[in-house]
Amino acid sequence: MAYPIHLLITFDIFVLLAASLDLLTGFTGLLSLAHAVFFGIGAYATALLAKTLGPVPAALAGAAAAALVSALITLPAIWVRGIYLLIVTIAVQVVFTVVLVNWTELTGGAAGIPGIPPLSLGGHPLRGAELLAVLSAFTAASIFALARLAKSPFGRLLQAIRDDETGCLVLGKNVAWAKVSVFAFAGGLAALAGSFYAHYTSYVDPHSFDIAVSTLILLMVMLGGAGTLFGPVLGALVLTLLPEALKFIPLPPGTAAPARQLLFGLMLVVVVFVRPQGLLGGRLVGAHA
Amino acid sequence: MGSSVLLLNLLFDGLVLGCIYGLMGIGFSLLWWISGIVHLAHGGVMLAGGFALYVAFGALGLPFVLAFPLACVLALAAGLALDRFLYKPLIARGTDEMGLLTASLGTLITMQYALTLIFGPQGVTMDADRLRAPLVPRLLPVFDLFAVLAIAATALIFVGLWFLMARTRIGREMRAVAENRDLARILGTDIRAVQTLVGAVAAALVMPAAAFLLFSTGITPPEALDIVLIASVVAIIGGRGSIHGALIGGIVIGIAESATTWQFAAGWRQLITFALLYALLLVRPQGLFGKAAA
Amino acid sequence: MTKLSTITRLAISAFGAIMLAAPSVSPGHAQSAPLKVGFLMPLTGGSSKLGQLMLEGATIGVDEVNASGGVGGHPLQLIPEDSQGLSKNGIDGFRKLVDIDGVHVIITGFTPVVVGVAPLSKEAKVYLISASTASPALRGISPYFQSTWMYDDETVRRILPYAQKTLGVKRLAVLTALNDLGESLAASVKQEWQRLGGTLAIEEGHQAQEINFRPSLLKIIAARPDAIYFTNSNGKQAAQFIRQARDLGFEGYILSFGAFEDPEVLAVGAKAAKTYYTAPPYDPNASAERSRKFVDAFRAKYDRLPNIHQANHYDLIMMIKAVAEKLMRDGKPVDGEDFRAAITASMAQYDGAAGPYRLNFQDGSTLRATIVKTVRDGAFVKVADAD
Repeated sequence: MAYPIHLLITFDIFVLLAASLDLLTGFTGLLSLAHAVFFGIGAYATALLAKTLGPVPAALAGAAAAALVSALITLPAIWVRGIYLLIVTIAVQVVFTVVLVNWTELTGGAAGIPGIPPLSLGGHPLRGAELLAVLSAFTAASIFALARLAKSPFGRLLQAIRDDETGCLVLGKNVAWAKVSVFAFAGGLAALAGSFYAHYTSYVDPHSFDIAVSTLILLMVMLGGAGTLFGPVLGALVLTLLPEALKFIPLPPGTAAPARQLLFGLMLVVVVFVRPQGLLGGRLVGAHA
Repeated sequence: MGSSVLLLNLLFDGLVLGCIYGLMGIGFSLLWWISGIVHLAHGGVMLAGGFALYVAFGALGLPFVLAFPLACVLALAAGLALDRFLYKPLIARGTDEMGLLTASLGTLITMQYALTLIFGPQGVTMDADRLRAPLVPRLLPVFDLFAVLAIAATALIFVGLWFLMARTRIGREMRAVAENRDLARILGTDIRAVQTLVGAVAAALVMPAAAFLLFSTGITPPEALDIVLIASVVAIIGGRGSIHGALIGGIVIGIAESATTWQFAAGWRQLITFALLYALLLVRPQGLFGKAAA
Repeated sequence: MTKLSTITRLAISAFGAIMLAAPSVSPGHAQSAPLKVGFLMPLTGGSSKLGQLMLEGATIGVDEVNASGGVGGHPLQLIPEDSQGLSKNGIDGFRKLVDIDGVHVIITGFTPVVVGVAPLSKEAKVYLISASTASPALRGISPYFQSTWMYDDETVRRILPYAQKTLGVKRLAVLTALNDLGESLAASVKQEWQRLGGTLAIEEGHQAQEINFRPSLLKIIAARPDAIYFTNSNGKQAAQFIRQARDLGFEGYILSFGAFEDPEVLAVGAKAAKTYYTAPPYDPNASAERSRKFVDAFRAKYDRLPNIHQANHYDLIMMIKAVAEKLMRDGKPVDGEDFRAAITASMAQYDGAAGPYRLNFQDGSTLRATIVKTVRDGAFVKVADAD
């Protein structure tokens, strides 16, 4: 029973990550390869603070830190977008990994931080099915909240920024503020996913939050359908199952990991060619009607 | 070696590194400026060229004068194939910027891991051997033939590019397409031909950088994204549309990276590059020498 | 919400199918069911050459066991998983070995992997045994982890006195790889060097995956050391380091530890002279019967002589076989908990193809003979008995 639970927990965490990135990329048109940074901030915050502050305050601290760091990205993003923003997010992602590896006193360096206690509510440690239940409830609530947000005036503003930023500025909308808040919100949610992850694996290290992870989350969004919210959920499902399915294929030892990454890269290209709106996308993102 | 001599060495090493960075970034810069294509797969093409050089020169043992052009041909083929089968079709059907970036990123990843499967994740390195013998041993151990070659090659290439852009008809057409595509079309320029040519030039330009990388730190697939990062930072810092900007941008980053090592642990080197980029984007997004932001 | 498209339905069914199938992917209890042992090691990546070499050694052991009737009649099955020397891949590989393949004993190694899976092994009660872990920080990490390779805080106590007395090193530079192994090793080196009264010329750090050591080397050379201690366990990086150091004109000694014995280093050629490192003594031409049997089998299969790493992993297989057979004789199941009880009770000393072992189950460490070796004429040769 441990294996299906492991899969479902992984799925839930991916859903949180993909949905929060969709808010940024699908809804607001801000292409970001820094999502693993927020994921990592939440995980490391929990790793460092959960023992002294308790799991919930630690997770909230992580989310707050992520929101702060997201401001770093949005500052230049207010004036630039597209490739400039992408480069800034890649830069932030790379710097994050460098800091995690080099600032050994704080982060444990490349070895990471082991021995993170499991999430406990009211003194009762949650493992296995219990953790899954709490996590699933949180994930469902998050999706629900995001869906409501998407339909709200704020959500419509985000989509308007994606489709016609200049128009929004002309109409006097506070575009800068919208970008800053959506980044902070998406980052905070990803950080909370990171906190769950840290409690579940009991061990964090820099490699779990590097650019390959950011790319994977982006793939979930693009594959499922950017801007549809449920598309990325499907994307998360596919990309949770795919590595597991690949494990059953006998490959020469050591080729499994690069082969998997190769497949992800190919999928990114194929999606853009064959079905740019993603599996669940209705309208083509940004297409001329 | 005293502290100031150490700094001198670090600065010189940084200059050489910067020249290589400039070479890494110029092809990317041209493609972005003239064709408007953000060629993230540039890193993949550079790796492919480097591996081709290794196979021809290192593995098959062909003489360098034969191996290098062969590798150039392969890089050219890769670049033109990407242009013809990836970018042109997507642009033709109106794919938006996000889609193009995603497709290019996907191609980069595909190339990186295909090369990993073939050559292993550690990649290949070749020993520059006698080229690395210091010419002024005690004072400046970093000053060797390799460094001289790097600087000379960079100077030649950049002068050549300047000449191409400023003094030839083709160069004028490229600049026209870059600055105002519609006007250029009206004036009779064959846009597609120009763009294909730029793609070819950009692809060929990866080879010098790939060659220097092969003989120093090596051609390693995990570096694919780093290569693109440096190329784009060079392009952004130098400024869109400026050839000498790309060179100066590269040298600035190279020297900055080396100089930080003087006081800080070498592991923090990359930080300075991104700090520079970040500061620049806040203060002067069009780069040091760029024309107004597009 | 969009109605469930065909794709979504397919995906959900696939998911359900896997979940239903998963419980049935646990080992059966048939009579001659194979005894499965995991091999969680770097098969690709920077340490892959070493990992592959170690796999060769283990394979010889598995072949010999199965040729003579298996373990108590059960064929021995070695299941390799690629850890790449990274914790994330290690954890994934561990999960697969334990959850899908149902193993109870895993041969593993390399610090990041062990740090990642040791806590999991305690919880899952899976026994980890290693001949490729050197970081002193791993002492006592888990009662379910045992190393048969010496921790390098002990080996530095062999090479540093040798460097000081025999090589005449007065000023030492330390190049610290910024990872767990590098940092704890560097700490041991500095401590021992200070105890010996030597001068620490400079300590420089480098990214674990670094391939350009020139800036660090420039700083190190400026501090005029007689020797540089290299803490990275990756052969390819060691080779790069040696090349770059020699190119920049460093003519002093390069010191390191067991992982230095990697074919990549030999490939450097003449520049690899004046390098010294510690390793357990291993002579494939030794006449002891146990060693000869292994060497002959190895040479028959791979057409070359084995090295210390291969001998170590052959010994691991033989140790596992001995403990498993004891359990079977005592009518106990071969699971992690019982394996641990049996090995700690019966194997404090072991005489293997790679020499004698004295295992310390209190903190998972081991004591073995150590010698200093160097590179000469394209081979790793012994220079001195260090103890």
